[in-house]
Amino acid sequence: MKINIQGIQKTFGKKEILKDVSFSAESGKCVGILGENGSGKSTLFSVLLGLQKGEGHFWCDGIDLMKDSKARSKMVGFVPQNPPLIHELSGTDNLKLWYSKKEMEKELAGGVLELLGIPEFSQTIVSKMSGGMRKRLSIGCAVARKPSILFLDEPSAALDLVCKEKIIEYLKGFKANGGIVVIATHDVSELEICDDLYILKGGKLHLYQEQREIHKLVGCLKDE
Amino acid sequence: MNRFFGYIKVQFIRAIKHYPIILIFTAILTISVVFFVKVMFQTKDGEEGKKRFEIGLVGDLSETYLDIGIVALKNLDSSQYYVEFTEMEEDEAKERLLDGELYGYVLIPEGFVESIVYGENKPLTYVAANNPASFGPMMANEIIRVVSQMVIQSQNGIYGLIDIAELYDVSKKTYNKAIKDMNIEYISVILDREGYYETTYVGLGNGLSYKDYYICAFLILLILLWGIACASLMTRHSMGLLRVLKSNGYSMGGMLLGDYIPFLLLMSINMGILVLFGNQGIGTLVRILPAVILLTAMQFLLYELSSNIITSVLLQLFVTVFLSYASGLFYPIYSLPQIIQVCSRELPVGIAFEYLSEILKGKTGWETLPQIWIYSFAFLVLSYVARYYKLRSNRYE
Repeated sequence: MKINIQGIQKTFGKKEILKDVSFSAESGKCVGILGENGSGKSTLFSVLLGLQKGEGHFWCDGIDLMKDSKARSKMVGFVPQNPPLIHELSGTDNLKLWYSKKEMEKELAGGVLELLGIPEFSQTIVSKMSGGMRKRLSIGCAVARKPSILFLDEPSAALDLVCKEKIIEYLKGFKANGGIVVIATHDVSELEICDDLYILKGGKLHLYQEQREIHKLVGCLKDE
Repeated sequence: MNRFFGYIKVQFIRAIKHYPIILIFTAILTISVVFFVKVMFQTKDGEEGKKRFEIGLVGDLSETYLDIGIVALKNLDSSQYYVEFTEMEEDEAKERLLDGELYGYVLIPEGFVESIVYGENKPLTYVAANNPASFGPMMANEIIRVVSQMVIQSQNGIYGLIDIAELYDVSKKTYNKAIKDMNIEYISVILDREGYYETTYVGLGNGLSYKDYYICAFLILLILLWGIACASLMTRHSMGLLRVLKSNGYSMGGMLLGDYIPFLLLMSINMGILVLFGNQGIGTLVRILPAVILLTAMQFLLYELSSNIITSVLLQLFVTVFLSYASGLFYPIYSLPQIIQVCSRELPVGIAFEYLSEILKGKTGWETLPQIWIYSFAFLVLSYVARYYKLRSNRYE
């Protein structure tokens, strides 16, 4: 399986946010997208996942997932920066939006939900969960339909090291099973799982091929 | 379809979690409104029983026949239940009139009865506090004119009899008895005047009695207040989930209905509880339901237009107060300016009120139903549009 993102364009009024953004990835690979705040990483994800209108194509095995929402809902899972959860309900009740009763029991018993450690807090109300729990729960929701492509927007932002490690371990496992991961990140610890690293700057995507040292990355982000 | 049922199931779970708080607010609101309505009706009935309009009698009241007439008026006439005639001096009458204690006073001139005898017909004067062009004094004027005519004509008859008796040398003893019989005959005619007409009450403009009008009005107001009590359930804190669901193939129309149906169900349950307490059956609830659907659809749109709980509640309150006033929930609609009366018939609260009025009068309300369905559908369509534009806004949350 291979994904091929081509010519993504997005304009807000007269301002061009994304200019001909293109990249590709194969099964078992992880693409990292780095950029300053406000560079357009979240907007890129929104356009690719049909949350906002934009131009371009998101090809996967001959299907344009930007236009085919049915195929996209089966093949792509998305974990936004702010977990899309219903705060007054428990973890289990939130999962009911994504899993049937049977599927949920199976996954909690030994599947992906158990892998994410969700059974420990599935009965807790979301408003009482920690940030790490909410993030893991939202990953659990995103992978309900067993997608082969996972988009994550700053998955370990504001999480402690233990939580970060758990999430990174899970993503490594996802990759190892042939999945494709696309991460928008600021976090150096997430860079270690990225096979390809891109810098989003001035609306354009640049492949970063140098050493992944912080000072070099910062310099790259700051360069005109 | 599965996604729709999955979504609505989760929304029902949310609604059940919120319902205890909603129920507490609903109970407080309902008890307050019912208590207020009860006090209002009791006070009005009580006041009608106790309060009488006081009219002063000023002037020369020494004449025997006049005195008899006044005694009869105070104790035998049906007007004694709503008008109190009190003898007093003119200064006292003026002072009490200005203080608002008297509705008016009748000034009987000196020699009034003699003037009738000699055909001079000195007029009675009615002194009132209000503008003579207003309804109250105008009615009082007419009453005084009628009474004075009756007095004048009856006195004319009696003195005519005396003249004839003296002309034909009839003994005083004989004609005194005849005068007495004649007076009693006149008095009984005046006192029996209620037998000459019939009064029919057609109600407050729309055919409802005062009580039924306000029962209907407060029922509508309760529905609107219950809707505000659901603010914690209906205010959406984040559009993020909706965006993610939409990108995963959830239909926006399905999600909208999935949010509206639990709201409608909660409101129907509230109405059902009230109907049960009012010893009415399920049939009454079914008949009231279209009004509930219309008002909840309107409130649902208002919730879609707001972004947080404070603006939600403020918007709901403002619209509730405005539409309630304009639709005659606080004051009878016929007392409002004509333009408001006309507009009220097209407002959603006015339509719901019209429909409930028909139900209370024992009719089906079918004539108002098409308007109810059109408005409800329109509100839901507008809610869809509002949500569409909200979801399209720049950033996802």
